Amino acid sequence: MINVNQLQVRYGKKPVVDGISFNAEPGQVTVIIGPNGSGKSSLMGGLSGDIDYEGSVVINGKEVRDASVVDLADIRGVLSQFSNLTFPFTVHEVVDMGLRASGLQLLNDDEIGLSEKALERVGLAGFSSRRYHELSGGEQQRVQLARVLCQVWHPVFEHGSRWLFLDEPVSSLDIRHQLTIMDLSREYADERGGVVAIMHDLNLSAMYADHVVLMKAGKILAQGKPEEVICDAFMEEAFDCPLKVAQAPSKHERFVLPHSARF
Amino acid sequence: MTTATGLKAFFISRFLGSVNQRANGDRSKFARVVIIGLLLVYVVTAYVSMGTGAAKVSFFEAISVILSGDEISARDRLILFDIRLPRLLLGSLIGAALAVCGAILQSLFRNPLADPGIIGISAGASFGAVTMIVLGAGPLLFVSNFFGIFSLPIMAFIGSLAVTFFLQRISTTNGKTSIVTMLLAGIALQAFVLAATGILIFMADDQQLRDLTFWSLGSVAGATWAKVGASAVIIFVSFLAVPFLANALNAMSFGEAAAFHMGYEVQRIKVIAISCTAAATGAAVAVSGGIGFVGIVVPHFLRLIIGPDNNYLLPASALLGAALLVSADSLARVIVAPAELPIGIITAFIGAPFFLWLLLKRKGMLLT
Repeated sequence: MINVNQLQVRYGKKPVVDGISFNAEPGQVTVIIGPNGSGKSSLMGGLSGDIDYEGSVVINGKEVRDASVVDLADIRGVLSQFSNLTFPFTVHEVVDMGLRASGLQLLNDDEIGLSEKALERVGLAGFSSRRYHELSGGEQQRVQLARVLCQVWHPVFEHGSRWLFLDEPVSSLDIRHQLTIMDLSREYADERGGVVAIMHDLNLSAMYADHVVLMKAGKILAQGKPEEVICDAFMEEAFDCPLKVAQAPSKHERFVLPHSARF
Repeated sequence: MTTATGLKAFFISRFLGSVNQRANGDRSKFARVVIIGLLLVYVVTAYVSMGTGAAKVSFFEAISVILSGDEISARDRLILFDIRLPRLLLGSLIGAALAVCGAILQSLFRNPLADPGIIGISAGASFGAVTMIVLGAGPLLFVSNFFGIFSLPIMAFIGSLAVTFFLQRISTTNGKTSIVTMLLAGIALQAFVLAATGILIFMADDQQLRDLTFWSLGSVAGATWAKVGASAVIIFVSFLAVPFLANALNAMSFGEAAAFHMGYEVQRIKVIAISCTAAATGAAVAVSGGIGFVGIVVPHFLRLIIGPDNNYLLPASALLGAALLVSADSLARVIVAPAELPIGIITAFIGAPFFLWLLLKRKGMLLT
């Protein structure tokens, strides 16, 4: 369980996250959406322990700012938006770093072949021996996710649920692999782990989220089930452009269609 | 196909090729084999070094005489155990220290060209040494009287630590050290220290200039058991932390945020890594002067062979650095025998072209 209460993050004097509160439950996919600059990544920074914050962020009963670096690494894995690698590691070596994360306790039997299993789950079976920097952007993003997944491989441990924090996990993926990664998040939540993801794709958010947090200008504009939040009024207000939310005829999935004044 | 290109193709496919495309991307077993190989290489270079020098003394014969229970001549004993052995050990220590420091700083700065020279650690050491050479008989006579023959290494060591301490202070705000600030401040500080060194050189007389030149080119010729002991203590203590740094340095390759996410206390690691490299480099430069290129060439070459995993790169760098410096020192003794070349000239002559060759050959593999 994650309880965020009156969270405030500032750069200088200007608050970029301005007193927001929400809960994220294990077993659910919590998706944070909102326009550029609405404070999503800063919120994620507060959750991950990267940035100093005011207010409180409690994960599994522990205040993040008081938790040790090693404990945090055991509770949550973080997929950052950007990561570049300085030296020519192989894909195996990159994923293996997740297994060797500091303070990590895995059963020995688990570790054998775990990086290979993680690569399979992100759709990169057989990529182990490739060099990381020779891969495409989307492949690199999935290798990173495999590494993060290894770090928090078991969704549940003795101190509660583990968490995947994903900052735009599908931003550079093709449509098939977007589904692969969203399915993976869904499975992780179904195994009682927690997932908190920043997303720009509203349609995937509507499809996969259990709980949607809509941010604008550092505050929460709306939160709740996808069908409550992803609707014409909130979407237009948040993104400040004309758009239309409709439902697919076959299933009851929502999709968002942008309207340009030019057409 | 000519024999040469055939051999080259064979070498690349059998050696580099198979290394780079190991089936599961796990190079750790191979890296262990390479480390054992490097150990053997080191032993061979050490053996050769013990038998090399202006005086004709066979190490092998001396050992067999000792093993058979007889005494070797006092002259042979002196040459082998009071001249060549300390020199061998000092060369090994310094080579290992420079190569490991280079590898650590490259990971820390996320820059494959980083070495102790780049943030001014070496410049600080030279400033200390030059100060001692030029002012040792004048204003700093009390230092010379107090520390005796150790004044120069001690001043060099103090110089490198002072620069590092100052850099840490400049680049740390609210308990966080900015690596970029440190790199830039290092360049500025280095220019300042070099200018100050320049003033001292301007003031120096002819004999002092000769001492300065020899010192700045680097040499392990003045090895004594005292120098070996002092530098060994500092280098070993500094490197006690290295095994615990390896995984953290790997994680730092993705940046500080990722390393933090993986459970490493980034700030503590930066402080430990920089302090250890400053102390070890300071100790090395203090006893041997400026020996360039070991810190860049050795880790670079090894990354191409066994990959960048610091768990293997650091020990392999230590061995290859030691072997390289010991071989360079053996060469230094025979090339212009009975005189000696400063070892820094040899490492630069080997290192610079080799580095260029690496760059041209494996352009695609370097991430810059």
